[in-house]
Amino acid sequence: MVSKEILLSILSEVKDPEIPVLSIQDLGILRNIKFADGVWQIDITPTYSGCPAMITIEEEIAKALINNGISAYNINSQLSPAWTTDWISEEGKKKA
Amino acid sequence: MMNATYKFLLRLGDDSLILGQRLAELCGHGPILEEDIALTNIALDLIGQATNIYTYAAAVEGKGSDADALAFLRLEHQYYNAVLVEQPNGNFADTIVRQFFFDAFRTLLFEKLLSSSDKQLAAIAEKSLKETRYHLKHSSEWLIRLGDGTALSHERAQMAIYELWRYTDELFYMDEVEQDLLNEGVITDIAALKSEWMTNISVVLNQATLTLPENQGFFGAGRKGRHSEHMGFILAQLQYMQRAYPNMQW
Repeated sequence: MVSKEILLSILSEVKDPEIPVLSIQDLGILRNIKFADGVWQIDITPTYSGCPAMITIEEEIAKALINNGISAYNINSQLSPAWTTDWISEEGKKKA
Repeated sequence: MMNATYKFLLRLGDDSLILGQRLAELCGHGPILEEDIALTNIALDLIGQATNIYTYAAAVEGKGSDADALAFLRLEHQYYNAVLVEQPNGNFADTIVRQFFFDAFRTLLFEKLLSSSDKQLAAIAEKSLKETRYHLKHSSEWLIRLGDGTALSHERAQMAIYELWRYTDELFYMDEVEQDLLNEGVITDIAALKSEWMTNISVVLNQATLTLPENQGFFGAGRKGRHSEHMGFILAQLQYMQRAYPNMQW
């Protein structure tokens, strides 16, 4: 089984399709990851309700996981707490 | 009988979808570039909110439906949006007045739904509220500019108010669906929002030098699935691809 650190580094390759220099971690779109009952639970949040990039982001996460041999995962979209620019990481702010 | 939460979610989601579809008609047709972008982004917010609401509605119903099926595969009488949101875009004042009445209502509603005993509904309200408050600023500022602008812009805004006012009371409609949910703490007393709504819109209308009609009756039974003649045309466009090419994906 991969560690949480390795999983995070795999997910750091997933970029925002609209601003590809920023990862989903930089933007705070990736909320939480945890391993429970043999499955990686990955929580992501939309920046706004109609964000058309969410489907692409989910597909990119799935692709990154499968490419690294991880097939037991579950991606959840979480609405609360609602995203604000405060969720952008310090690293993300530097890159932006 | 339809589950009360499911029915309420359809009423809520249908308002978002149909108004979003209406505003999306303005894509490439806005009065100025800035407004074209603003109105179509509001459309996108509304369609995104509808997606969240329908996704949850489908889960509540528990019959394997999804947001797409709810948006595209119902018949006219199975949509429960208020008749206000299906009214045509008309001129720019018509679009702004329709939006202003709706945004002022939605802001109040979502503020109250933050404390819903239903956690997912509260989460949807929290996410949507940030957007809806922004929409209300946009429509309020335009209404002031139109009402307190030129003689022509004032007249058009005033005519739009006279035309659309009759559809506003339906926003506060409640029947046994809402009553059940009110008793369970899932929703707020929607009818009781009207006095606060009146106070809030009056502040903006005064600034805009616009007045509300007196002694005008109200109209609208969209919450029961009875719509104006515009609804069929909206659905014809909205549903075209799924009706012409069933189950198509892109």
